Amino acid sequence: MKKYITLSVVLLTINTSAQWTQEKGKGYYKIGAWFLEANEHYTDTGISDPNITRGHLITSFYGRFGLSNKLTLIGYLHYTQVYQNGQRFSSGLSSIPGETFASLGDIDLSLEYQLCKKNSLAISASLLLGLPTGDDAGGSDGSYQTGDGEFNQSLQFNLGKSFPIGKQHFYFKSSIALNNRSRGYSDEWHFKLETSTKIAKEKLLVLGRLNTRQSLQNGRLSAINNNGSIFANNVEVTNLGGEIIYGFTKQFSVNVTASFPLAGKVIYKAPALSAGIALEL
Amino acid sequence: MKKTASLLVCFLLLLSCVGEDLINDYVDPDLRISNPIVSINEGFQYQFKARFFDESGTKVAEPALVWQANPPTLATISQNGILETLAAGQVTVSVQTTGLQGNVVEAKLSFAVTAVAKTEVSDTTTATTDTTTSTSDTVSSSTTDTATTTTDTASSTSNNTTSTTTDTASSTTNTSTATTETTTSTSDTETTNTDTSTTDTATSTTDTSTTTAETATSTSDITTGGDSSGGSGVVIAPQFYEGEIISTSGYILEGNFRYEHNGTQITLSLDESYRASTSLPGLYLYLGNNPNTVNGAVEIGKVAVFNGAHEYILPPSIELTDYKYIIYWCKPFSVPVGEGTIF
Repeated sequence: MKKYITLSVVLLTINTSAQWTQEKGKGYYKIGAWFLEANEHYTDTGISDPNITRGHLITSFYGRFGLSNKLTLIGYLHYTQVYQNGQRFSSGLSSIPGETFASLGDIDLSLEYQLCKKNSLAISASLLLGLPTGDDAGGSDGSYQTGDGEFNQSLQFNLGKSFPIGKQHFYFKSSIALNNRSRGYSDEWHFKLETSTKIAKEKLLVLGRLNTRQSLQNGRLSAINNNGSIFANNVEVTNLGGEIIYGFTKQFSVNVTASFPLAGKVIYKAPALSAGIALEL
Repeated sequence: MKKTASLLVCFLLLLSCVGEDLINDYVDPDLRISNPIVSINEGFQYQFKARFFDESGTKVAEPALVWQANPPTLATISQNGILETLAAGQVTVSVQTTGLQGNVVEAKLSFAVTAVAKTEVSDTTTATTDTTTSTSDTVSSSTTDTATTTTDTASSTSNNTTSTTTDTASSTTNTSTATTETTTSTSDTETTNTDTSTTDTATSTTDTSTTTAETATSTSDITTGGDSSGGSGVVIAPQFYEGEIISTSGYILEGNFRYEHNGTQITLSLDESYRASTSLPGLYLYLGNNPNTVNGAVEIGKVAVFNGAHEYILPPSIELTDYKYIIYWCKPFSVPVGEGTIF
């Protein structure tokens, strides 16, 4: 779950020109906040079940820096707050107080290499390393996780193409990634489709996204051997979302995103919202 | 511009305030007779106990109980729950109290009051000679059968019994013969019994009238085929319950259970049909009286077996009727995911 949240935030935070690597010496930096609160979750059979309201608030920094014209260094780090609501009983029984836990989350570092760039087409590959810097057993019962405690490696291929429809220019992006997870977690496939266009005198970029995460079900981690972790393994989800980016200048922009789960397994069922400020230098 | 961005971030931060969920934990109030019986001999007393659990499943310390026994010609019960049986037949004991919302809550228990054979003579005979003792055994056995099954037709049956006994007794002693008469007259009226006995030996008669019940009890026990009374004249209800664990969530959780007091402790056994999803996070087992919450429930432990037969040995402080539900609880989400109703 935590890893999913992290990846979601990364995906939602990524610069829209991700398939076009940074120029040498240039950078793109973004700080943002990502929020999800859920009183439902998808079970392992995909059914929706209720739960006591839990929330995640992630404040993050995302940066890309062009090591060369073809090679970009990407970093993502975040501070995560996990909380659970208190419980008040209709019978008048004593209330149970809520709980909050916060810590540094897992850090992602990746390198993106431009494989091809011809006219309106760009293809790149990236290797992401997920460092287990978060807490995988936070809170009173160990379920307030800010990290999954595993070192994962994700190999991703990205394809981007711009194309016109009439006078309007659009961008299309897709990516596929294989996330190799350790410590008994199942490996995963990640797919993403995205399209965007600029409007309002090219000040406003509007994006639509569909991304999915599928487990290979090859891990050994389960409730039997995992000490009470929520959403321990075999997390799956398909999200539909959108983003609006308003560029005040060529260097400075703000963005707002929303993402809605369409289906899932072992994951919260609730929309996620985020907002951020980006600077391109 | 910067102000707008700052407001956006602040808005998200505000969203993360810890709130409070309202949990509807209502359950029907439950009044239960905690030491039910199957049968009791006539002339015996038994202390009934009742426990009351309110609309939250919380045990009420000293509920105001109103006891009643029906029909009153067969048994009476005090407001402390002490039953006194008067005659054989089917008796229903009911107990009532008032719930927090003013509603009357009631529990009922029906059981048999068993007739007791009048075997004062057995004692008398026993006190006589060894030979007579064996005779009296015969008499006692026959008499008991008669008394238990044919109260209304005691006369004719008694005659048969008498003749049988007489055959045996006549070859022994005079006292035995008297025994036979006594047995016969016992079927008729107790007064006759006393009179007859008095004719034999006044001293032993007095003793007999006191000890009759005890003798009859043991005789009755044997006739019943062995009960759990241990000679107390009361057959306690079976000390186990069986049922099914069902999922109350989207997770797989199922199986059959047996909840049993083996004399020293309670065991909860799940059979081979049991299985639970291994994706269930933080799954714990509780016993409680409200399946909607584990407030007031006792935690048995973290679930470590997800497939097949296994057993939990419960703490000795737990009594068989203390808890109504087996609750499977997802701790991280604070939600029930499965339950079994014990009784």
